[in-house]
Amino acid sequence: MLFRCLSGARTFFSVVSAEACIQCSKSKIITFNRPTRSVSTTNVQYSTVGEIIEQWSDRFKKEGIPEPVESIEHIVAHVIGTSKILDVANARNKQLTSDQRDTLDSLCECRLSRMPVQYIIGEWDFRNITLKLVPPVFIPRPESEMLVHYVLKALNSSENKGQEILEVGCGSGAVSLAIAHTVTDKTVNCIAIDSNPDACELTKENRDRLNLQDRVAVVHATLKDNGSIELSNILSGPNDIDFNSKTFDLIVSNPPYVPTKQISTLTPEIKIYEDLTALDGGDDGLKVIKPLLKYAATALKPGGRLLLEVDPSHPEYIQFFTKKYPVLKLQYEHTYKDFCNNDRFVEILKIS
Amino acid sequence: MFSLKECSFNICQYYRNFTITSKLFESRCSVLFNLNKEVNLSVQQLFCSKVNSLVTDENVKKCLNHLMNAYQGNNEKGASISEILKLSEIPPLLNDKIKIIENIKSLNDFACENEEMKDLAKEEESTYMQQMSLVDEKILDVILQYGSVDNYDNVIMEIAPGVGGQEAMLFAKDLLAMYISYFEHLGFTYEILELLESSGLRKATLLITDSNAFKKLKYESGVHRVQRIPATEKSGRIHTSTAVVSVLPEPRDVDIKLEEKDLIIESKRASGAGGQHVNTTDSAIRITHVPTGKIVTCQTSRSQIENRKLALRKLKTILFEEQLDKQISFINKIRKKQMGQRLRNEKIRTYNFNQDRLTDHRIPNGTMYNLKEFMEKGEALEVLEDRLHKDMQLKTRLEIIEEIINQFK
Repeated sequence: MLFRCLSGARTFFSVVSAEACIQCSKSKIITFNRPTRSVSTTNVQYSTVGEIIEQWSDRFKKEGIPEPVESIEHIVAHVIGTSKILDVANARNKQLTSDQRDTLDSLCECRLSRMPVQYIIGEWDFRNITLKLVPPVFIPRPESEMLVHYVLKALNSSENKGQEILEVGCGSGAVSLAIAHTVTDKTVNCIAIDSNPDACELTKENRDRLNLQDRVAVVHATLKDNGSIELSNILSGPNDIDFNSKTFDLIVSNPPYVPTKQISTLTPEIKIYEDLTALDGGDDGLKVIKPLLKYAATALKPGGRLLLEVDPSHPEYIQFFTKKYPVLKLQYEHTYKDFCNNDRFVEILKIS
Repeated sequence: MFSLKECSFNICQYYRNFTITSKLFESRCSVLFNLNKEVNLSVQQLFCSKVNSLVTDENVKKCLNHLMNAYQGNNEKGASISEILKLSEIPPLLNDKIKIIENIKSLNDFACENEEMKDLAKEEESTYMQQMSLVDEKILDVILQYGSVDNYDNVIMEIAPGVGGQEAMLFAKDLLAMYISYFEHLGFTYEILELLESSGLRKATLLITDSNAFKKLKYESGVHRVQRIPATEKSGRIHTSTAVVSVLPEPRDVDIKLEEKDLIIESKRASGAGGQHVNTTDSAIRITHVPTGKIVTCQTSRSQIENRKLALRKLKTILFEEQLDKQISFINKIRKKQMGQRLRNEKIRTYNFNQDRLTDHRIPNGTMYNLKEFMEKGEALEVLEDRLHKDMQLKTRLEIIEEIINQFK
């Protein structure tokens, strides 16, 4: 029942948000489809950026919106055309044009309906790159910045000049693009796959913005429960990719790992707006991780590595799994902690 | 100890570059040298204008004589003297000097024998003296340049209110705006690493990226005083408040090393499950350096890992500064003087709004008018900065010489 409610709400809001997003991106809106719960804002009188921030953050606070101050600061920053909220502090005495104010109002309405700030402003930073973000494609988390850090470390320790990398579940493309953007002294070829065609399109767009066309291929493909990858569509890249015969030096993934029963406890920002297939890891959160281990066992070159971002409860199981099936020739190497001291990243080595 | 070696290594490298350029200069001038020694001298002086007025100073002469004696083994070598003598450029220069002195001596002997030759000898002697002052200048240049490290890539600037409560915070905010327009005038790229505000400015940290930045900013370090009727003052009394500015060059990676185990890195995201369970926008980072208790924060970027990198750079700068403070090596003393760091607790400038003037206390005739323009446009500040650079450099160098003299006593 709850689930049905949720999915109902989800579809409703997705429609609203998608609309809002399209309108916002055009940034010249006169009317806006307000969700019924939002109160008219015409009575809010303000002039300077500082006052706008004060009034909207009060409003957000009253309506129970998380991170009220940060939210309005990021929205203002977006409206005045900067990516840094510290620039907003300098612009506190400046006035907005009426166009800017209209845009700001409608973006704030989005926030009132709990749309994540990253979707509202349509972009976010991941390491040293800026990514376009569109609902419902998963918003990269700061933890994954560390996942990239460990991938880079693994690449550095390898003596091979050329590296074939596969990312399973690329979402907005954050991980693959950050890797290809950072590694310049080696030939790195990434193939980024996702089961969601929207995610593939977004990855491709972000890749083109970063000029990484020659180093990142984007493929619409799905990892099956039996550990094989079913190819649907090669968006860009060599036409002869065969996932059942191709081998890789490194496989990286931030698979869905939230146990299904915890999905309902997540904030509306996540469960209403983000693609739940990018989060929902089944009963134990391992629904994708298990097939991924199986696939890695066949697709990794000897000496190749699998790097995963997981739930802190998973490393123990993964260690158990690799021991139980020695035939896979996967050797558990290490668990790394994230910046909150949770066991978050697992490194597995394919032995010969 | 290790990092000290690294430091001096850096300096040596820097120094080598310097000598190469000066040698180049010499070879280019050799034509001139043959044609007319007078002209050559004036060209040299033009280029070495920094030390010009120093060579004639009594203290400087004393210092050079001491150095000479120490080199020839006539008196005891102090720690600082041996440090100077170890510089590879010094011994050849001193050898040159010895040769010139010997030449003058033999010239005098020769002149004594023959009365007619006296005039000729005098003429000859004056050319030798000129050559000697050239060598002296070079020696001085070597010593003084040794500690000079103006070519940092990045500079970190901190602005904080001093005494005066809220008015001091308002003034600190005005200073921040002033420096930002100064950077824009000079075309420096800058990034605000940290900005704490509450009815004024509580603290601001800026990272300025430009190889000229340290040169153009180092004299801003110190206490800035303001005299005006604060916006918050109802009875119209004039208040005096202060703000403190510090300018720190960012060390290179070799200058300072951080151990992972010494760092506590915190983010606001710390509570709860994290990962895919949470979506927040707060990417601020706070790093505590356990051995020193120093805390740095950064909220510049929307990427947490970028904030972390920036915060680490800031921490390194602060620790480097402390390290310099601790080292009592003579070379470091010179280096610190060259960096203008003794000025940190010194009242350097007064901004008087009622009289529309500002006075820099470190230079004679340091008063300038049109305060509004000074604070809003970068030009006037650049003019003042250049004057400071000229005046202070001479002063600093004389102080260094004094320091060397003290080492002999």
